[in-house]
Amino acid sequence: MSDAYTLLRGGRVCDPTGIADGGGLRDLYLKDGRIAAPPPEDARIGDVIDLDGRIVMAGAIDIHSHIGGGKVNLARLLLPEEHREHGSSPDGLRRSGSGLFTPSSFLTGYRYAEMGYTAAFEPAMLPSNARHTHLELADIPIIDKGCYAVLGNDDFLLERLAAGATQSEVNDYVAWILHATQAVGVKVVNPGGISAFKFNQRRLDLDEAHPHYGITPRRILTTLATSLSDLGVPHPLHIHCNNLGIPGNEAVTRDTIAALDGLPAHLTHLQFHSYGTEGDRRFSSAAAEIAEAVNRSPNISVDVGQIIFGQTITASADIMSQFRNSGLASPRKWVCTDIECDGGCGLVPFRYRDKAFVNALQWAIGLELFLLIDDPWRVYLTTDHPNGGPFTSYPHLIRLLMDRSFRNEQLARINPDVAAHSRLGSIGREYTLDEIAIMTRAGPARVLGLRDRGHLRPGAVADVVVYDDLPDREAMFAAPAWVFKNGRPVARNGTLTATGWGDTIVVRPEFDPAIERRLKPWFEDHQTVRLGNFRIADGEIHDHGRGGLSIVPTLTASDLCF
Amino acid sequence: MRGDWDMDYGFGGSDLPPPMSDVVCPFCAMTCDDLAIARDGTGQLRVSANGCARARTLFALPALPAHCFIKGRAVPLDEALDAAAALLGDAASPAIGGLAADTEGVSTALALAERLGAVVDHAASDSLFHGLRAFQVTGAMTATFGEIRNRADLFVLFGTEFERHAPRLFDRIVRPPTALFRDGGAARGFLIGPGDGPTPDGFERLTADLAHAPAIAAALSQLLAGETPRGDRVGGMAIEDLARVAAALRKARFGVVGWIAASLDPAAGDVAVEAFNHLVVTANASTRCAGLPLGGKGNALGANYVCAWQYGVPLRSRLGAGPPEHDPLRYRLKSLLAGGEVDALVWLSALNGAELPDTRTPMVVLARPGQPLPRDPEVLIPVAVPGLDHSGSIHRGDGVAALPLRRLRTTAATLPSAATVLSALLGRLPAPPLATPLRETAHV
Repeated sequence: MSDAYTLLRGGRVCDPTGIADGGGLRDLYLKDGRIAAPPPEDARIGDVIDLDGRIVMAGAIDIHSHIGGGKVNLARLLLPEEHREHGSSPDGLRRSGSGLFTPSSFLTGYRYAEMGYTAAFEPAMLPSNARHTHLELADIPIIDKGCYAVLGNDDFLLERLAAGATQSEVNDYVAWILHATQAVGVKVVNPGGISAFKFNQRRLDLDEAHPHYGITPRRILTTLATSLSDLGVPHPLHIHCNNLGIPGNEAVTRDTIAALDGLPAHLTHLQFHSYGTEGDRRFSSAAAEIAEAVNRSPNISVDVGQIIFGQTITASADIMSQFRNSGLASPRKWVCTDIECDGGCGLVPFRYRDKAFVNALQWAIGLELFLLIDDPWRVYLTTDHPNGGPFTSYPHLIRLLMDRSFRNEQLARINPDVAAHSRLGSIGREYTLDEIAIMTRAGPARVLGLRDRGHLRPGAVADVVVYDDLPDREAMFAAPAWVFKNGRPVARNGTLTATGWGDTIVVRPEFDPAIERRLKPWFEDHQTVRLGNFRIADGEIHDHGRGGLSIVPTLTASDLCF
Repeated sequence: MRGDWDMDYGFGGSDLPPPMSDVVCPFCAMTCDDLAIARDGTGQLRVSANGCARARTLFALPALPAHCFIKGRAVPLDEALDAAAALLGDAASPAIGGLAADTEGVSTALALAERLGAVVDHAASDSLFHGLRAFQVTGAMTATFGEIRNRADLFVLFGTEFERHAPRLFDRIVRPPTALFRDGGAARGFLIGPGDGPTPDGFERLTADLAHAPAIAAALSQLLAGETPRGDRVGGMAIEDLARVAAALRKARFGVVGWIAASLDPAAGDVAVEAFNHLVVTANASTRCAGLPLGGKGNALGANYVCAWQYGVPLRSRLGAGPPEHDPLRYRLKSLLAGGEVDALVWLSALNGAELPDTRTPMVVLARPGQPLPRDPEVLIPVAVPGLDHSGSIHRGDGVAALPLRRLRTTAATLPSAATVLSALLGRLPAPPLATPLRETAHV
């Protein structure tokens, strides 16, 4: 604790949840890692930084970025060429590392912090890989992080659903998984499909019965979405829909929204699920139809998964889709793994080419979704790092959203058929700074239940980013003038100045521990890890001096739900 | 006495395991976690259920009070650390090998390597790199122990000495007492390799020279794809036998192609693994099949993982002398030592499986008590055994599960962990200079 305040004087504070100040200049006070109310006259002010009218926002939050865990690490091992080309030396402050779209752990933290991001969420932690994932995340400096546990293809759940388990039993299991794996949410990936692939089925639609269990993806989806709602977990079910990447999949995406029937849910990397089958190539944009469905459904939030042209690798638990796409691997090598009666892992390196019609249209579809979904509180900025491109391309993406003439210049450079097949060129919308602050801060914080992040009201964690108000929004967002994490300056003009450790963010809903009586024999009879060894103790995370645990409160009846 | 064994262990349940059951064994890549361990009044451990012969031996080794030594002369820890820091501080071409340790031990060894500009490699990396080099070229299609236990209805296993390299493989994974989607006791398959040892029920032994494993796997791929290999024998195997194996893979609902990496041709193991992977991918055109690499000790796979996530590159890399530089041939530690290209070596052997190299290179050895030493190293610092003397984590060889290690014994003279010793060593090296002066408060 310190008795001195840090004063950030005279900034243009862009906080959509804060005090409306008519765009005037404001002072911000930081104390003990938090935003403080203006102190009394006689308070001791330590550091004073004159912001000279610069833009001030809360630290940005990446709601969906594959930053660590087994499949990310296999991706690094698969592509030594990437790491040979993109290496960095130690410099006394920074550890060395390598990688552009699968950066090593230390670089991941440094690069996020240098861009003004102070939290990122690993969206695909298989419960069987949870300990490995947390070990990796413990080596990502500066930023806060959290994980979504992947459910919906795990044999325990499928077997219990097929046997007629009650919703309350499923709720206990979901809550137990959140505790045991130290997660902050639940993601479902191709519900039922990953398991069906293990039975040699190559595709599974929303109402198609699973080949062994006889239950449908619809049943898995709605049961899990209900669980999270019943348990009061702030982040609703995080859904990777069925049939990723398949032309015509917009139907299953719209059916998924309809199936949820008002239940809160988050649809992730929506771009990959918004494809139609019109035109000569039987591949078209269904962004308008999908955006319309999202606009009509206030229970739904989404992130886009924008593609960025260039080399990357697609990394997914959706082994069914990844095996189907393995022929597209560039370079020609790929990985598919069936994992522990729990899930899967598929890695397919890929180069998005701006002159290729399909890739160029994917690019346009992502931007159409951003621009046609009306409510910035329900659409978040992602590239599904690294699947659509690296998170370091966010400043470029922000410029595409904020600057119509820049966007149309880019559109004119890509495969010319896209302009003819897309309405992108006719969309006039330009995101405002307030809307960017919502979609990269306040919105993700709200949908994750992070009450003290994503805003700059007194009491918030003092994660603060100061930008020069440059007309080139890419340059502006790539190199913030200052970044503060927990009230400490960590980057200046886009370059790291200090390092440290953030928290692991988890959620802990109440449940009936009697579920362990059913789980213990399951682990002994059907798994290869015992229940007591599967569970991750708090000490495994906070005993290494690399950040603590931060527990998100569950929702109560009085909380504003989505 | 429960110590850090049960930190936070109390969450959720009434029927938790008693403290000494469900113990994780850190002594090979199977990483069995169902051991029961008894402890007598002196702290001596004994496997009372579920261990293999190796586990029974290594858990029972006494936790000796051990001294540090400089060239055979007993010294206090501080003096040994000073001598080690002096030796390493003067080195132009240092290396850190062995790396048989838990996650934290490996992680600290890599940080030391980064400070020194050292090459890093694992004692068992020849077998590891058969798979890794194939992976870097073609990728892989695999499955983990838990999936295979419940699902695999056919095993095609290449190698020898399964009991030595993958103890309890048959009891736990191939013929488990229970399985979800198959009859666990009725597993069938083929053992392909030299020798004629006992053959488990349901298995057929096919004698072959594994130097020809790439040709054998390629012929199987051809047969699966409906083509006919040339000639009537491949690698010592009759085409009719190969045709039976291929037919079984085609008919299986979920076949497994497994191999003991240490049984493969040392000069071309990567070619064999590539051929196995091609066979698996070929089978998946019509049914399901998965590869399964087997063997390994000393947390080799875990050490490689830690290096990959922290630096983006696998082992056999040079850290800290510029960006991480990986070269699987140039930075093979055994070759560097044989060529006299290392002038100071740190050898980390907190677990088994990292016998000291036969070299005259000046050496700082961090070893578990009882580690055989061919000669007195320049500096010897005994360290605790992860999972017996301190908590931590370790990776299982099939690549997904990391398992918790707990402290099982305390003795009067508890040895420091490898991570503790390596951190102390790092603390004795001069701090690296900051590259650029910081001016973070220019406007104040």
